[in-house]
Amino acid sequence: MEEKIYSVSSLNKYIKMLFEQDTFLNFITIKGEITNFKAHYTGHLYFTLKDEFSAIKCVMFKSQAAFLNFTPEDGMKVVIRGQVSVFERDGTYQIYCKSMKQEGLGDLYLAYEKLKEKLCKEGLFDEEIKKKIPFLPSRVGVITSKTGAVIRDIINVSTRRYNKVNLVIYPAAVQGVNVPETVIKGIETFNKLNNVDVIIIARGGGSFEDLFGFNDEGIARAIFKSNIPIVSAVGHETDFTICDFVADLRAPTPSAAAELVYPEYSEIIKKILMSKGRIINSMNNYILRKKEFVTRLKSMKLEKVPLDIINKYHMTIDNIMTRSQSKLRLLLEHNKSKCQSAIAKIDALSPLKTLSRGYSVVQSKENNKVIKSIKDLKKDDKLNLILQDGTVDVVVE
Amino acid sequence: MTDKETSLEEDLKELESIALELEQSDLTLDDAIKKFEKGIKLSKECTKRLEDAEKKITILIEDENGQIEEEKFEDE
Repeated sequence: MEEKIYSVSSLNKYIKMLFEQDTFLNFITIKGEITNFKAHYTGHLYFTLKDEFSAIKCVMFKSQAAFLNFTPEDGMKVVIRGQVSVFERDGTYQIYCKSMKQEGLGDLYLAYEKLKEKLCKEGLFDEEIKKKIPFLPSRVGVITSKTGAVIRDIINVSTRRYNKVNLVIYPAAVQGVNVPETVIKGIETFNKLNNVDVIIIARGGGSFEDLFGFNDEGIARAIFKSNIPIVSAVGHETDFTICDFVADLRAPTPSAAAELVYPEYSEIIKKILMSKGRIINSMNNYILRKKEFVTRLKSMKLEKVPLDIINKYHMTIDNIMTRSQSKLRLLLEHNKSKCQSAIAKIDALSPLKTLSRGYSVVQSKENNKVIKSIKDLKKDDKLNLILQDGTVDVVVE
Repeated sequence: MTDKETSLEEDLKELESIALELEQSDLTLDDAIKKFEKGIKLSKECTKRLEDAEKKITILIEDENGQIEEEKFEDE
């Protein structure tokens, strides 16, 4: 019997399939120490996780690495959650990290991760439901501690940009067990009073445990429910809380929140003046344009048009007159010649011409009837005999 | 807060859209004049609103009965 021979890639494919069928390897939590850490320029993280006796390669892709709230480095003890799978090209197996936390953060961190995943699945972090932050708020609600640097920073920064700020503070606990209750109450109060058009939730930087009050499901749901847009400024640039993810906008620091909410006063004044200038300019241009239009119309002899029309009719009349006159003359001429030829014909038939040739006409004297036959005559009838040059009386014998 | 219906932001937006309309559309003289007057009026109102606004920082205090009171915030 002949032995079957496989290619390297089909073997690796087979091994990978085995790994992926294993539910244990598909979702596993491992602790260890980071070594050979490399942050690739593409944003992916490559490193090895080791303990005293053994090591395993790890990769964390950019999309997951973006959620890290610390920068991993060699020697750091971490807990990783992810999937063990085979990288077929090299025939190596490695951990594809979904999340990573520093070891020692313990249960709090796991609770945070779990809540984050749950709310994310529910759609509370979706970009398309985020409300727009007004360009210039009439009034800003600030939920934070009434003492300390944060409120002072917000007042200072916003006043520097916009000297007529209108802030209303809702004092809240920013550390300890009272955080959720007071922050939620603040959100609800502003929504009930409906007296601000944006809310800032602010707290200064601190450890993960310090900020933990803001990783609260109740706060997340209150932010989600709020009709007023909310800017979250909890902790510093590298600190991410659930509050940040649900909020309509995340500010890296409380001071940044003040800058995001209040525009520069001078910029707005400049904007108004610019719009005003544009309006005046375009109105001037408009009038100029219309004036030019009128001038152009005038030069188009519009004013002379009625006279032109009359002149045109005059010409038509003249034309008709000339034509009818010549036609009349022609008609006259024609009739005249017709008349003359008729006269010549009549002349030719005239009895006078016959008389001149020696004929004469006999008329009864009694009734002037022309005698054409001797039968019409009897003795002693008196007659007129007409000759070419006169008439004589004759009597029949 | 002002007693006006529109927010300053809305007024600023309208002001800008009037400027754009006057620049780009072919309006009748009557409409152009109307827009012009509205624009100038808006720009004056906006400036006035900005100038008239007063710096105001308050704090909400809840009393024993759960009533919310607004007080001036003492900065330091």
